[in-house]
Amino acid sequence: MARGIEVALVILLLVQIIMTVLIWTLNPILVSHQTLAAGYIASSLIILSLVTYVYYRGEEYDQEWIAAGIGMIVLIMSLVYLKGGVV
Amino acid sequence: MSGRKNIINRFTEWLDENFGFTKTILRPAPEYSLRNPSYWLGAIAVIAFFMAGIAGIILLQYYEPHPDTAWESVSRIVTEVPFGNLIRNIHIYSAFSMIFIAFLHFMRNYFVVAYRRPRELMWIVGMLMGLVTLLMGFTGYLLPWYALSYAAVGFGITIIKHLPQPLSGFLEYVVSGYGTDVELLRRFFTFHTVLLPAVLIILLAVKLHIFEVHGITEPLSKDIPEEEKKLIPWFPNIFLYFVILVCVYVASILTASIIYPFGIHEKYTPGVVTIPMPEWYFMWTYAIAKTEFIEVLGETGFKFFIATLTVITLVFIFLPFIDRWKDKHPSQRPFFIAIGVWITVQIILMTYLAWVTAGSYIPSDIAILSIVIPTIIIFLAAYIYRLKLVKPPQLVWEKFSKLKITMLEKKSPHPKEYVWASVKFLLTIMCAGLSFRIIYGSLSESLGFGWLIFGLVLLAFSTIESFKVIYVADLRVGNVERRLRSFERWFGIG
Repeated sequence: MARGIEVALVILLLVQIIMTVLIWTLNPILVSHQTLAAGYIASSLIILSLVTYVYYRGEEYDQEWIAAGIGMIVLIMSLVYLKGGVV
Repeated sequence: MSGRKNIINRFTEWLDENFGFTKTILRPAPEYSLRNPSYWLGAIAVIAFFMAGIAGIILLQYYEPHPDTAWESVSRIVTEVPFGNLIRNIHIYSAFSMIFIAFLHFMRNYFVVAYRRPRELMWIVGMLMGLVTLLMGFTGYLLPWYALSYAAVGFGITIIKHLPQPLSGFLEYVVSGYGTDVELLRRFFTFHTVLLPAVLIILLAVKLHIFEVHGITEPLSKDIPEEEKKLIPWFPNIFLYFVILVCVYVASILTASIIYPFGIHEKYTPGVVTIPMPEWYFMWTYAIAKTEFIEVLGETGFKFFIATLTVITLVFIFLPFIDRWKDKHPSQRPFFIAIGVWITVQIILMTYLAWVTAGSYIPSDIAILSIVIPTIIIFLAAYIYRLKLVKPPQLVWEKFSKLKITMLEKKSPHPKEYVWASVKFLLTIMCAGLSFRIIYGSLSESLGFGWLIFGLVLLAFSTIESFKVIYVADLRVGNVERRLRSFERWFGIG
């Protein structure tokens, strides 16, 4: 189980790094790109809160919260897509 | 896992060595508070304040506080400044969430009676912070120089003009100077960006100090396990909890900006005519002011509106000195809970009414119904609940034997009595509502003097009857004695 969460966190951190890098490639004047940036930043913050949560709770973390966090990221990015925040 | 934790642990220890977080003066918190985010609503409101502040400082670099250029500068922020639209949305949503969370914090502390000794001043400082927050919202609304916000601010200034002199003249000068638009905008800008934030920070420092002295309010439940009462150090535990809260909060603000980004409204120019529409958090006050009843009464009605707002504000500011009820648990204070629920319901209802009747008055019948129906439902529910709390009569009989109350049965009432008392209470409240309608009709629609007298008699009768119903219930539970003793204490004769 511990191995599984380690892998999940590493993947999430990689996603966070990719999103952070992508923000720098956006055109900050375009409103659609700003929406995309908001989605990236919000998702990165959710990942940071998940990592902090696992560290905070140690071995006693609830998988439901991790699943809820990942679901939140998917929801945010879907909203970005629906609101036209795509390059 | 352990290797990763060791690296993080080493990093944490290194940070602690440098900053001395574990030696912080911030007080440890009990574990149960970390299991319930409602304990941290005030902290989230502070986070919202700082977030709005940071976004606001960025906006300040591009905003021009002059009637000729304010709207254009906001338009430029949205269309030309890098991430300008996003930063503006973050500023607005942070401000809105600050007001909303502050309201939740206020209601939560009301329901859990967090204003009792020794936290009276903490409550008063919190209430002042709430008022300053609303003023920040009010002053910030004008800055984009929309026709909509100009009309709403004009309504606010009308309220100031109806205050008694010399307060009215002084406040009018402070807010709008000699009445030119340039002065008005510049003063609102100064209030919004300098004066009110400074006052808020000072009040925050005072509140934080009181919080650190007394700590988190004790829970009302007596069944908290001992292990949940143990104190948790501020660093790293509460600090990490805060990191999670901040991340989730900021992510929520950004998500709101994605779902519903704010646009730009029409610019104010002297010829433009628009409906005064305040922001959502002032809608309920606006609803009261534009009720037909208030309008018909004219100047007197407007003064009544201002007096109502003043009384509500003062009652809540000085609530710690007004609420002398012995019990703290919500189950033992059904009427205080009912008042809190009633206020929340009324604010929501009034906001909705103001929204749907934009541009016209709220008819008196609808206004009266929207007040009377929730009042009946909520207070009747509280009353029935309270009757269930009835205990056998106690010492109160001996003290009030002269009033012949010994005739009442010395046992718990029969369930039928609950129903009968509830029906009586409901009827009296309905009579009171009807009497208000008759009095109003006789004043505004010239129904005649006879109807006025009838309405007043009906009002007196229903008031006496409703108090009688409550009085009998009070006698049964021994509250009369408790209340009289409370009055005795108030007047210093107890």
